[in-house]
Amino acid sequence: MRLPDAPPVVESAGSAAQRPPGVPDHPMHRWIGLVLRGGVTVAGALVLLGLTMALGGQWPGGEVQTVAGLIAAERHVISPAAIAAGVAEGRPTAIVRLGVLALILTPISRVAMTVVLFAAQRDWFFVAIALVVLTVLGLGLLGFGA
Amino acid sequence: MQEIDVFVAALFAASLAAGLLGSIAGLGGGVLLVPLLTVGFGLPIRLAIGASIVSVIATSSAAGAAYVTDHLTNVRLAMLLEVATSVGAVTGALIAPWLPTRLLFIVFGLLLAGSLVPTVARLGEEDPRDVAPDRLARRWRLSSAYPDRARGRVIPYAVTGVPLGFGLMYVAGVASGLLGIGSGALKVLALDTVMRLPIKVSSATSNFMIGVTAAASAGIYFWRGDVVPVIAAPVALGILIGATVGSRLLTRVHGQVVRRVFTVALAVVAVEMLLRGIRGP
Repeated sequence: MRLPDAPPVVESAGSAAQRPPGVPDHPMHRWIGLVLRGGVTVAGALVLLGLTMALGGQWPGGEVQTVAGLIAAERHVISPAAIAAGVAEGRPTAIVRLGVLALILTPISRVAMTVVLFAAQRDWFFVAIALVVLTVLGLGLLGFGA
Repeated sequence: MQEIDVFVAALFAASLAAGLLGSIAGLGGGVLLVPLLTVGFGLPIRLAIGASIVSVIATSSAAGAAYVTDHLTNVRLAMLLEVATSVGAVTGALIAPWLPTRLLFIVFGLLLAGSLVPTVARLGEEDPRDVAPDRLARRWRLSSAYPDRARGRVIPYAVTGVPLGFGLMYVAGVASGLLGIGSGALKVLALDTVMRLPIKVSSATSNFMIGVTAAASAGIYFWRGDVVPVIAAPVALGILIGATVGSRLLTRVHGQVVRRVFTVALAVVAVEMLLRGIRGP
């Protein structure tokens, strides 16, 4: 992984770049990376699936297959129930929306994960900090004020 | 090909490019996306903001996943500052309907243009020297170290200016919630210029925080219906792929290169913001 011109210092096996000394919270780093990667993978797969189905000829709006018509048909207030019903029917746009929801949930899951991991380290000040952030995100997710 | 197929393909290609540049520069890509979607594709600004805020989450999460395993991100500092950015983002989303958009573009454009001066002046600085951690940074153990692959060493760094940095992060959060951007430029400036972090740590930590900032206001745009699938799907996927490639490049290039890309992107975005504010939507 090292560049050819890098001076031979700290590490020799190439693993030191992954585990530098003096970085205190290493296990947390790995867990957070997994949560982010998993969330993006699931969200990306759902969005790609929905988009592929739609390009196969299942855009909503019936015969109105213009960009402007499609945007007008899709621009409306939505609810969790509407998404659930759309996904159950296999509607491509509902699947895309489910993927977008998964994407919004990804950083929120990361913060929830961080609460647990700070607690495991008995770092109570940062547990409180992470809980404050989680609360604010929860209000945003519920569409607080919208 | 039908009109919609061409439209989707063009959106995807443009977003791919925006994601690549945004990721390398530590920008969320939103600052590049909103002008691209409105000016380039003639889309309504509210829908551009909706697609952008979602894409910003994708960029940050994908890039952040790579950064944390590279140990460039300062997770403790990010968590602390996310209190300010998330509260700011909700504030921004709540006051958005009540403020004239043109004024906001002008103020934000001026802010970005002004921030170019110190960035250009300190263009060659790979690692900040003689930084003493302030009282809060010592109490909360915010200082850390990062591995520099290009030089094959682990480099310790100190954190300073915590109160001012926290305040600037609130402003960055408000801008994010109002304009559907990640406010990566403002975050990197606060981390780099005020808190004196090494540029690579600033970029990585900024990218990491952007996702949480965007998630705080994205729900409001989502339920309102401003995230339209035919726009958001190709944009989010393009950004996601561009950002993933960009994040792979970040740990393999020198700090000066990142900083130059960042500076150019900042200048372009500042001019774009000002022009939009002066001319109107």
